[in-house]
Amino acid sequence: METNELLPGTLEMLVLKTLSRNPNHGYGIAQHIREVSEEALKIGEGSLYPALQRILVNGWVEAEWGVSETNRKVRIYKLTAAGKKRLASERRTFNSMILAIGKVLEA
Amino acid sequence: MKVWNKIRGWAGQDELAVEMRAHRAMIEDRLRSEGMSADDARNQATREFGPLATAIEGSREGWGFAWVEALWSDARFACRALARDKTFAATAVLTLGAGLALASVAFTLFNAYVLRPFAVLDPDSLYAVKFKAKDTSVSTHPWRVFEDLRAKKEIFADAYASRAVFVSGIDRHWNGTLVSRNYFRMLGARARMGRFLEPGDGNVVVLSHDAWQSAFAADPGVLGKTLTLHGQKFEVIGVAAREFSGIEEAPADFWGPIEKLPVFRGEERELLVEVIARLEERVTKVRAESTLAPMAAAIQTDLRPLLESRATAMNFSPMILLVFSPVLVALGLVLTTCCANVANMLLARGLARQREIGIRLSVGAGRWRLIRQLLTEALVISVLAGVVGMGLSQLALEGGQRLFFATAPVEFTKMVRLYSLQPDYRVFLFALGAAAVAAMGAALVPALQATRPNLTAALRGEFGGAFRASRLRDAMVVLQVVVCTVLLSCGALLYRRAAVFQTQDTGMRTTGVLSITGSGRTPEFVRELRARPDVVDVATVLNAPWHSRLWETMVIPEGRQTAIPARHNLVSANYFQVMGIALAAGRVFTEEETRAGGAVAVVSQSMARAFWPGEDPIGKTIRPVETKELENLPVRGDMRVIGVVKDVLHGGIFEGSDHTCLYVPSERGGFLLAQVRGDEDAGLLRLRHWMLERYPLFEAETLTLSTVRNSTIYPFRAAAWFGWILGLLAMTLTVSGMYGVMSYLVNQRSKEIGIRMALGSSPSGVVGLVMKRSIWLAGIGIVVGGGMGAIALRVIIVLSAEVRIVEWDAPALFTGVAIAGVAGVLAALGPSSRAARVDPNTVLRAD
Repeated sequence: METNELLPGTLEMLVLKTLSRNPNHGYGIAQHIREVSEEALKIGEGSLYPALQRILVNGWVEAEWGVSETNRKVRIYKLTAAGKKRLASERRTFNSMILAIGKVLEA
Repeated sequence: MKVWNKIRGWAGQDELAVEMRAHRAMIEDRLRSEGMSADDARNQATREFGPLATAIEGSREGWGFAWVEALWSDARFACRALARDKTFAATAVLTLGAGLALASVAFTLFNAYVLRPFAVLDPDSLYAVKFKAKDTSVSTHPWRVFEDLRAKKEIFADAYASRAVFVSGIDRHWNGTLVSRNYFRMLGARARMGRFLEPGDGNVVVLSHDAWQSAFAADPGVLGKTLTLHGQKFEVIGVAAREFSGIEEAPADFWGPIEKLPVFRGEERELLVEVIARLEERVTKVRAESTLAPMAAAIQTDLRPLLESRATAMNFSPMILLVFSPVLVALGLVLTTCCANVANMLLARGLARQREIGIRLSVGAGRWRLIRQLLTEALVISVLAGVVGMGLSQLALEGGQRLFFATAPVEFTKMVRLYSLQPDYRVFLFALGAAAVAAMGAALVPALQATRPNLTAALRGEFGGAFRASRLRDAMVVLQVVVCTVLLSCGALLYRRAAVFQTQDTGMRTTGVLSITGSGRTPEFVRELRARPDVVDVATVLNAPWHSRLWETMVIPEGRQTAIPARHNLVSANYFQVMGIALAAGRVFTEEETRAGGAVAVVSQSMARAFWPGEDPIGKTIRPVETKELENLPVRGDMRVIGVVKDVLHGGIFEGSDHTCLYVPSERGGFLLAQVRGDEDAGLLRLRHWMLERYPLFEAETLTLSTVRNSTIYPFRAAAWFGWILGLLAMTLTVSGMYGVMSYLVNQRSKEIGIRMALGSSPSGVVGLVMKRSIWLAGIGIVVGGGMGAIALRVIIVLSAEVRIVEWDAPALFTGVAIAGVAGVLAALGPSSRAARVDPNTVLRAD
């Protein structure tokens, strides 16, 4: 499933969750989501980097330059306290949405 | 915080590219480690990652500044496009610039008088203290009231007293303000030379910068020099800085101590001053007014205090808008013409670029993106037009002032002082803002039309713009013709009216009479004046001709029961002689009757007809009635009519059609009318010199009656010129607009014309084809314009029925219609003759 089919805001939530485990760079975030979803969610970089910029502008992550495992110059993103709060609230919203959808489908 | 992040991110765009390339490289590494070859890995990575450019663009969107970059690149593109098509650019900029110049002129005046606060300390807290009742208004107060007001420290930080005075000189008049000593300190004025008023000052004045330059030629040694005002010498102790000219309605020439007021206004028994106060911090106007209420009520029970802001020369009121509305409407019409013109040009240009736009649309450009680009082009034009407009407006203001001082009656100009019309930031902002709005307005519809995708044509490969009969374009042309017609008709109308007023027979002598009025007149003065060799005779009158309308009083003519209002004037016996008013029946007063205040009267023919139609008025009586509202006659008891004089036009152009007048004998009139021999201007100069020598304490305003009369007509002449200039400007724009549209039409239809000619149509037939269209458009325009002008004229006539300034003037309307029509036809001649010279061979070959 392409990530542009996801509900808006879901991508940011996934990125924030990925970063809540440990700081990471862009490639790492995309890798992680791909692997954990068992290839179901492939994030095109056309979506990933805009999402990263958005959460950076809103102050939910911080970024600084570092070096990757393969010695490449990368930007490493880290979740902030505000980001943690945002992640929690996004999860709540997402869960209630899923519940609502489920009720409609079961009815 | 968010914005700061945005800016930081926007500044670090290149780092993003580095980051993304690293990401793609890491994908490659992973694929290679899984066993793919280097090339395959790179391709796969590209496919997975997506085109780098799109990804970067997408990320850029996230920053939210993409539109700024788009704007910048659009602007650069627009500049290049305009540079390629210089004729179009120049025409568009000049057209829009002309309209904006007019708007800027209007705004500069508005700014100078209503918007721009005076260059003094905190002008917004300055208020004039006045008391108002239902029908009285107290603007000046006795000195002790000023001291009481000043003492109210709980609402006023400080207050000063002032009074405006006017001194007529021989070749220069002086506009002065007498002020209390704290005036300069309170307003934060700076001195360029010398000092301001101090305790113990006697006869001293401070000059304004302008007065120092014009009257003393910017003499650096002016301090210590004396100025003679009202027969007393005043020493110049200082010159104010250039930016300070007081906060009165007109800039002051000098300031003096308020204690010297009796020198200038000897007739006033006590010292009356205006009071300007500065509100204490955090005190509101309302609170101050309510604090002063008991004080006002103590003077007169129904008086209420009113604080009038003195931050600007004029306070904005709806009245100002109403008075100037015709001018604003005219300017608006011309600006609309300019916009219509530019819109037409843009429409044509849009159609000419159909190929380019078609290609862009088919490659996938968004329609709104293209529209944004076209609007940016209009924005570039508007910036240039705004600059041009501002430059033109400065020239126009400069030229206008010079023209005014050159053509207006000299006495009039000597009294006029204008505040500086230099542009400030407000005018700049207005010019740019108006330019942007005008350009957007003109460009929006053409942009929408140009980008309307005609995919079938594009797919077929036909990018050449097919000629589209555009109702919009025709409507613009018609609109321009309408505006042009209306303005030209206005100009013609005002011009004719001004000519009528100028040559009207007023029934009185218009040259050779001087009017002298003022306080401090003595009988010796009148005697000596009469005895002068160049003076034929001297009459006195209460209400001098053309100074104002006659006042009314209540009378009961013989044979009636109720009192009716009657216009009247108090005149001396020789008034009729001096003013050359012809006698129709009976006789005029004798000197005896005038001196004794005899119970006789002279009426005008209109009054005789109105009071006693068909009867002989001589011998009839008129009883004056005392009223509170109107003037009372000095005579008690019935007056006998002893003579009838011909009707005269006393009140100038606002007289209306009422020529009734009751002449009552009296020697107490405030105006002296001296009939002089020879040239009246030379006589005036001689008179002034004599008066300054012999009677320096007699503060008098001396004028020739012809000046007074011309001053009443001059505004009309000025308005006429204004109307003409606007009309001609509109005509130029219309002609150029029509020329452009017709040229474009001929170009577009050149294939059709070529075919027609190849099939045997004659050149005149082709010309006729093009002309028919333009005549049709112009015809609609002048009919609509003529109709609107006629309706507007009727409305104005009805509204101003009392004063009868304008009359139904068919020739003027016809003039406007004719000129506009001729212009329209001429405009089409050029393109149509070009159409006739189209060579079918060349045209049909090209595609």
